[in-house]
Amino acid sequence: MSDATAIAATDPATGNARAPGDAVARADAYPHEHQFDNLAQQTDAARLGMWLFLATEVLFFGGLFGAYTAYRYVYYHAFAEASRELSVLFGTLDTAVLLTSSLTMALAVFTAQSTADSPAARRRSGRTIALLLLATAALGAGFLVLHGFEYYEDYQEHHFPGRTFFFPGAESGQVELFFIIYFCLTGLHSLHVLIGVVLLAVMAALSWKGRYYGGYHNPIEISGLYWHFVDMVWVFLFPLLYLIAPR
Amino acid sequence: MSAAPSTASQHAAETPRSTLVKNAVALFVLLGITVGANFLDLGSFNVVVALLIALIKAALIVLIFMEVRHRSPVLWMFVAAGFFWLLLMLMMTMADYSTRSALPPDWLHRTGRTNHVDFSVGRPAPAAPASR
Amino acid sequence: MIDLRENYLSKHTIRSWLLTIDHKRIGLLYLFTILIFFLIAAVAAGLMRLELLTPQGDLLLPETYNKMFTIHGVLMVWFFLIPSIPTVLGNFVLPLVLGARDVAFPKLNLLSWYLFILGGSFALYGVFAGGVDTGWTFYTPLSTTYANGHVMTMAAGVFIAGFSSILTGLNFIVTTHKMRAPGLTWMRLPLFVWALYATSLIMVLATPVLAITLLLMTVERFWGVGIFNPALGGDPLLFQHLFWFYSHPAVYIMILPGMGVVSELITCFSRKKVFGYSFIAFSSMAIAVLGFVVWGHHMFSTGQSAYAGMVFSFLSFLVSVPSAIKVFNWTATLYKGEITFSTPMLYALGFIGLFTLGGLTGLFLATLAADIHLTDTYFVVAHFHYVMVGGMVLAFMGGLHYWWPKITGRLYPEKAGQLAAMITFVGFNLTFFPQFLLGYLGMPRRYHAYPEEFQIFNVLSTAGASILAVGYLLPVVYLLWSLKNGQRAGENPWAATGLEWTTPSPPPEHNFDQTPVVTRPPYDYAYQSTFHPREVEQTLENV
Repeated sequence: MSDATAIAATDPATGNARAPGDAVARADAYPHEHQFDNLAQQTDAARLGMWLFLATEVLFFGGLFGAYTAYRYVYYHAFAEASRELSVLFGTLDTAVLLTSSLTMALAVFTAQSTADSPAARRRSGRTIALLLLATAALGAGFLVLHGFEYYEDYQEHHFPGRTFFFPGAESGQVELFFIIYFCLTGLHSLHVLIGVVLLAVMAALSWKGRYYGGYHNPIEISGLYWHFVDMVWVFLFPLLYLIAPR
Repeated sequence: MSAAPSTASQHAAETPRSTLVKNAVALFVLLGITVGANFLDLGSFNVVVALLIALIKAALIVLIFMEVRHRSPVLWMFVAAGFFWLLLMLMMTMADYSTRSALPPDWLHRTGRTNHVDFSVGRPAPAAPASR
Repeated sequence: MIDLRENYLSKHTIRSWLLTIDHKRIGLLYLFTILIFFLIAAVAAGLMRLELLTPQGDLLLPETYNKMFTIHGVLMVWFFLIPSIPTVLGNFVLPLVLGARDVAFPKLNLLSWYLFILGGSFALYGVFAGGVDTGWTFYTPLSTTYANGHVMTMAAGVFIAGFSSILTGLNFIVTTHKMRAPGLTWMRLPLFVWALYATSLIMVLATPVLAITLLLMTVERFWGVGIFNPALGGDPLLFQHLFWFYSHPAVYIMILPGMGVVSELITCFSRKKVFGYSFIAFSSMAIAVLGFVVWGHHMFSTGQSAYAGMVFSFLSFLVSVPSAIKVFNWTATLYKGEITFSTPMLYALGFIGLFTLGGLTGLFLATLAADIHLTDTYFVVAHFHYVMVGGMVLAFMGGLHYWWPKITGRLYPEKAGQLAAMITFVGFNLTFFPQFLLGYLGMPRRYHAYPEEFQIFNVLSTAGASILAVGYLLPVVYLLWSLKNGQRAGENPWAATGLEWTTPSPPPEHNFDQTPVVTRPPYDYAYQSTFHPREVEQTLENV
């Protein structure tokens, strides 16, 4: 009896996996939370909820992107000058590390999704999933280390805004504005990476003994959505901060 | 993927492993292109090219890594909503910034204002820090 | 009719309240919390009104007065109005009207309350440790460079409460999408649900921008860098753009749920199918979306580009279209209805009148030229109080009375309710109508002293405020009284439609014994009356 077929019944009127009848749960391969009728409804709700959360994240970063856009428009040349101060090598490495971590994350989700529901398969896959998640977390930590080096370099070059900031020329204040936005954007992004690293480490521990398999892998998938999103934010930060002016 | 025997306890992943790997390769190729383009002088088009590539990369991540292409229209709607609302914010904010110094000539004549908004008040350049 | 079976209120331990994930209990936790904030903010307002009784600044120091209007603004906006209907009535009613056992993420719901408490604690600490004098808008560079006081504490409070708001909105959207009972299609949803859905959309998409804006302000204040400081190359208008990108839609967070409640009340107490269901439903969505592109009208008198000003002015006029659609549809629903003037209906009728006045004066302010004269005068104060208090607070009171029997299982005393509704209406108008005149005559807001020719209107306004206070306190008394002494309500005292009225009052912890199935269109009062013939009058006579 496959849960995939048992939960496929949706109410044509609402498009939801809720059926009339008593409130007692139908038999699922994996227990669902009390407020839902079945696992399919729970999975759908979790996905939608996560994407809504990511939409708020888009706008959370979006405020900073707005500030960036306005000042980039007003201080066009100063921003180009400031952007040239950043190291493309570091930026490229950052991006490569995060893109690789996205692949390992996607593979972890793939493994969970395609694991059969037998104790042996689940145990075997559990290890694979955990290792892939740990690899993802390690790459994330690597990104943070790389970024730490970058920040250190910025500090030494007097690019940290505030009292120690120095940039020769009349556009000093505007270049400083670029660096304020740079530090806010990358700082906020790094904070998200840090949260992701912790999250993935926890998920790795949870999946080690074969908790997640084809019939129930939602937490892995949701963590994956978060991680890919963090990656995607960097995909925009990289060109906007490092690549706006030709070298 | 090898053809799995269709027993009840088998589960198929929504996106095959090969697609995931190909997607990652495509992302790396795009990364190479965007870095390469940075060494060409395209004038203001450097940003356009860089952003265009970033958009393609983001689309690949969202559609394939995040598996949105397998999801319902409702989910597509909310994926789009975040970006659409960001666009609204940028557009309406820039409606102000991009027209601030462009008052109609007639208004300028009447109000005696100049057709230029001076944003250039910067912090005065401090003295060079003492060498370490 | 007496139903003494176990319900969601049966457990009495403190632990059972603080660790509950039941949406009904969380709604009550919110009710209790926001009333505390309302009380503090109302006291601040009372002190301001007392100061303004005389032209001289004799009661409060100027700084104290500034702190009072800041406290009043911050607490009323973020800790009363924004959470009011969504978190109390929305939390309680939404899963019930959808035929669900709970919201989609009950633990997130509880977390959201704790975040609210945490944010509220920061804000209260800011209030009692010395206060803030920036106004609720935290405009830079005042807030970052010149203001003393606990700006960062207050901003942290709002920041945290913002996340509570985001989580509530997220929960409601997913609940509406995924938890509807079989047969409950989108076009069968009660209009309150549509309003909550539109509100949640704003909460989810606008609030993060406020969070990042306050964060940037804090960074500027803490590190002394010039993100928004013109002396350091920043643009203070950027702060206003980002701030109002949230805060204008937030105004619709504060009115849309009220419109939803009123749609329920008007139909129920006219015993009629609502007029133009889909128009009311989609006008909620239209207001939510249009509300995002009008924020520049808060900045007409700043250095914003004149072209942008024209665009924002035009778009602001557009918002009046869906708002007017609602008002026309409500009045058309009343036409030839069997109207009962019970308490919730009185509040709803008050809402329609006051909201119309508040909305129309909004058009004056959306007009570029008129706004130059009216900006920062009492006209603005009167305008948004007509919408916020005349609209949202009346709708909140109406909704609270309407669902009170469902929440507590008891009826409130009807005569006292009607009296309170009328006192509130009179007190409100006496408080705020003179402020329209004051603003038109040019009295600026946010001053603790004023020229003598304005005194008569200020005296009227202060007198009205004291009547309004009676109108607020009276329900507290009789609602508490009704907890023990009210008549038992039965499951459907208003003979209303809607799934929440098909389960016992108070509802059992799991809401429904059987998953309900919906087969009828919404507000089918003609059909409803065949098996609930005028039960309303019977209950009213019994009081």
